[in-house]
Formats: sequence, structure tokens, C-alpha cells
Amino acid sequence: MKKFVVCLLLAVLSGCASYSQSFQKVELLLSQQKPELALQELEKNPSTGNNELLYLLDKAMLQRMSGLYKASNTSFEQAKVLMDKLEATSMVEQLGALTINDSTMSYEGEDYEQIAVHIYAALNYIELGLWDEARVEALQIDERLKRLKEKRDGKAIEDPFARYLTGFIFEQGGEYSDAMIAYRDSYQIYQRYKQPIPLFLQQDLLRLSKYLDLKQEYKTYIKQFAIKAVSSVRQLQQQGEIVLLIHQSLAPIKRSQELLVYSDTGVPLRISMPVYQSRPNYIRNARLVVGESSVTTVVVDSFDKLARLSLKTHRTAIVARLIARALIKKQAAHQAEDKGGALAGLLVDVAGMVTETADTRSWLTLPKNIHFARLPVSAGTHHIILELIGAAGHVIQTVDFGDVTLKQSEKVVLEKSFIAPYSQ
Amino acid sequence: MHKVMKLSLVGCLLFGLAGCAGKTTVTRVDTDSVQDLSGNWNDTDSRLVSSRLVNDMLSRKWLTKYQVKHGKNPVVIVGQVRNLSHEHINIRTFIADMERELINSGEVEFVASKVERNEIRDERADQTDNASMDTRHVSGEETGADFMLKGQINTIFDAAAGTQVKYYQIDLTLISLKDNRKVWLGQKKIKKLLEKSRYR
Repeated sequence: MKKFVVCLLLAVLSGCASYSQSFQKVELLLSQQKPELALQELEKNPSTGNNELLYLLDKAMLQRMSGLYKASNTSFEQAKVLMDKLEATSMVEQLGALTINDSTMSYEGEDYEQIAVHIYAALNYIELGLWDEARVEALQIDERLKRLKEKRDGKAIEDPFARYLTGFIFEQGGEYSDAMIAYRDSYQIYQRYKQPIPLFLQQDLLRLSKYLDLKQEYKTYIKQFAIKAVSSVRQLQQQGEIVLLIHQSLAPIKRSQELLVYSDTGVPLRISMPVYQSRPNYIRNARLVVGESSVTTVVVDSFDKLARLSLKTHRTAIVARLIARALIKKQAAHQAEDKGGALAGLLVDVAGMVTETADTRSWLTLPKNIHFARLPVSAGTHHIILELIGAAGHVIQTVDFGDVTLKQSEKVVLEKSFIAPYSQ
Repeated sequence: MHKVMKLSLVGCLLFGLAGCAGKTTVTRVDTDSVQDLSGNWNDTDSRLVSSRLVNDMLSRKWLTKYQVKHGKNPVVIVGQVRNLSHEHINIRTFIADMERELINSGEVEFVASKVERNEIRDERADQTDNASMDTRHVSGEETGADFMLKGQINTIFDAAAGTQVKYYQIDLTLISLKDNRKVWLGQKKIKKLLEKSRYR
């Protein structure tokens, strides 16, 4: 009997400890702005079992932070194949989840994480100048969302920025009606999640509804948004545009919270719920300065908010599963006590409690949020400076992007990651 | 045995099994054989589409008309083939398949693509400086293409409850460089039905 319990404990404990421990080092190196070393650190412990997807996602993210966009997309492609495979239910893992804990299931990614794979793969292709390939990712975002919605009975967590990026890619390719549909979707999701509509999306909606002669829609937007003038599609085509994305801090980390709940029959049960802990901000926002003109960034995507929303949506289901499992474990302890005496009962009860840990896995290298700005500039060479603004509203750091040369209707996409100093 | 012990045993077995690594086996297969693994665009699709479309292109009237009028084979160049599908398709192998079919037909002449041309021009410039007079090739004697072959790959995907339909449509257009006339339009469609297991 004892052997089984020990075996069970070892098996469960060995899996989870290594992942979070190795991530502390990764996070420390990231906060020191050393993504290459963080990547080396991660690659020391490649996960193959239940955490394989997390490993691939973290690897892809660290690769893109290190400027290895092509390698990053190879990792993302591997992650996509795995996500597709994990869509099917494993009976063996379900049994493990019902009797041991949720970490015995393969990590298949939250809805917003699955979509983020395509967002970052698309951004990688844009960095490589492969807009048609980025367009493939845009179509895959749509495809993945359809599947997620079907799986969750229409309740999938949607990422408004994923739709926005899709629209941006279509617009770059001159596919204005497709772009309009994507911008409109994005607008509706921001509204549904009660998030502010980013200024740039407002401008895009106005510009395209006017261009596509959607008179009624244009009027509605004019009324809703307090924007006086917006450049036309033609004006934008005659200019270049600088697009800035700042990936700030890191996604929230899941911690385990012990709760005492009562079953329907009044049995007291101890369960471990995952709760999110946000990471510190590095900047409040930033200012993109190009010669005389400048623009302030706005938050277009908050993985912090999406993660919390996702947990809130699934909370009822998680609690139900945790209670069912706690009851099974309780039952097992009673039976052990009946047949093997008090010690056997105690051992099984302890085993049940020790193995009862919350599933605290999540994609930790995702940023906390994405700050975004678009600035149309004339064709030619421009000196680009980025000013990071801290919590107090002062410039805390200046980044010099140097001279950037743009052609007419060319878009230059600049990306930066800033991760706050490490704190435990 | 106690129920608990059974459960623990199942637990141990699960973890034990997870650790086992399978042995890799390699079997060589004929490159013409059809192997559909994921249902994505693969080498069979690339080969099938290129050969069908090229055969269609070479059997149409534009070719005989040109040959009769000019007394020579037309010179063709492959332009951009855009991937507008839901998948990252390796367009290069598709283009290479088409080029091979076209050149081997003997009905059309083929000139190097833009990237290849630049490399060859560099080499020719190098010859001017370094090669002996009788082996040297001079610039300005390239063959200009008469037609450009362009195309795109589009897809429509649909899925419900484990069943997925993948529809590919490949459109190719042959355009006259002299006057922008489209002399031939080719289209090939592929439809695949995928059944996915809901359990693993």
C-alpha cells in the first residue's frame, strides 16, 4: 500500500516542480534583457510529456525575442500540430484528472493562448517581410476561432487584437472589404468585453467605411468617435507608415489557492483553485517620435485581462470538477480505512491531499499587454525615437531606432519587448 | 485488491507509460506514391496540380497559334504564384514542378526567373573581367520572354463535429508580355474530406 502511495506522489510531484523552477531563471534573464540566455536556459529542460505545448510556446516566444523569427515560426508550427492533436479527448488523462489532479492532463492551451500563437506567428512573418504568409496566419486565426467556438458551445474567449491584426494584414494587401469585416469584428469584441476602443481602430473604421461607401455605418462611427479628420485610403497609399508594437511585461502567473467548500450533502472538502497574480508594469505608455510628429501608444491587447476573463468563464466547471475529485478521494480514504485500518485510511487521505494541487500552468512568456501605435509619414528617410513613459508620467527611457527608409505605401513594423525588473 | 490500490496502480501505470519512448523506423517509398497524413497540402497535390495544369496549358490553341504565326516555340517565364490559402504552402516546389513539366514538354522555351537572372548577370560580369576571350559570354544577348505565367492558390475550409472539408482552388494565368493579353486560364480544384477522431 505504502509503495503505491509513494509512487503516486513521486510521479505527480516530479512533473510540476521542474517547470516553474526553470521558469524563475528564464524570467530573471528576461528582466535583464537577455532573451538569448533565457532561451538557452529553457532549452536545458525540454518538456515532452504533458507540458510539451508550454515548452514549444515559451521556446517560440524566446526565439522571437532573440530575433530568430524563422526558428520561432518552426516552433509555432510544431505547437500548432500539437494543439490540433490535443483537441481530441484522452480517456486516460481524463481518468487521471478525476482521481489525481488537473496537471495530469496534457496542457492544450487556453483559447486566448491558442489565438496568440497565430498573432505572434503572423508578426514573425511580417518581421521577415513575408506578408502573404502573415495572411495565412490571419486566415488561420479565423479557422481556429471557429473551431474553438464549436468546442465551447459559442463561449470561446476572443482576442480583439487578433481580429485587428487580421484587418491590418488584409488592408496592407489592398483587400479592403476583408479588412473592414475584421476591423468591425475587432470593434465588436472590444465593446463586448467593455474595453476602450483603440484610437487607431476608430480611425481605420472611419477610413474604410468611407472608402467602401458604407454611408450609414460611417455616420454611426462619426457620431460615436470624437475624431475630426482621418486620412483617406488614397492619402495613406501615398505615404509610408510606421507601426509600433511594444510587448510589455509578462502574462499573469497562476498560483494555487486553498478553499474549503461543502458538497451538496454537506461534506467539507478542501480544493485548490488556480488564481492569477499580475506581473508589475514596466511602462504606462510610450511615445513614438518621428521628426516633428509624434504619437502616443494605446493598449490594444491585454493578456492579463484575457487570462482573468478565461478563468472567470471556466470557474464553475473547474469548481465542479474539483469537488467531484475531492469526493472520490474522500470516498477512497473511507474505503481504505474500512478495509485496511486507520493507518491505511490516513495514508490514502494524506496522499489525496498532497496530490491535490491546482493546475497552475499557463503560457508565461506572453506579454502582459501590447501597446500599439500607427504613424503615417512621408516616403523617405526618417529618424525614429521611442520614449518610454513610466507610471509617474515622465520619460524613463529613450530608445533610438536610428534611420528608417520607407517607400510609398510601405509599412515598417517596429517591435520591442520590455520586461519589468525581476521580483519574486 | 482495494479500490484505492487499483486507482494508485492505474496512476503509476499512466506515468510509467508516458515515459516510454518509441523506436524510429524508416521505410523508403516511391516519390510518386500517395501518402495523405495530415490532410494538408502535400507533395502529391503539388505534383498532381502542376502536371494537370501544364498539360491543359500545352493542349490549348494559344500554343499552336503562336507556333504557326512565329515559326518558333514561345518563351515563358514563371512570375509570382501567390499563396492565398489557409496553409503555409511551399510554393517553390510547386513552381519547380511546373517548370519541369513545361521544359520537358519541349513545346515552350523557358527563361530564368528574376532571382536566377541576377545571379547569372553577376557571373557574366565576372566573365568579362576574368574569362578568356573565346569562352566569354557578353551581356545584352538574353532571350526575352513572350509570356508570363502567374497564379494563386485559394482555399475554403469548413468543419463541424470532427469532420473537415478542405477545398483548394489553383488558378493559373498566362499573360502576353507584349500586350497584357491573357491567352490561357487554367484551374484545378482539389477537395478533401477529413474525419478526425474525437478521442486519442
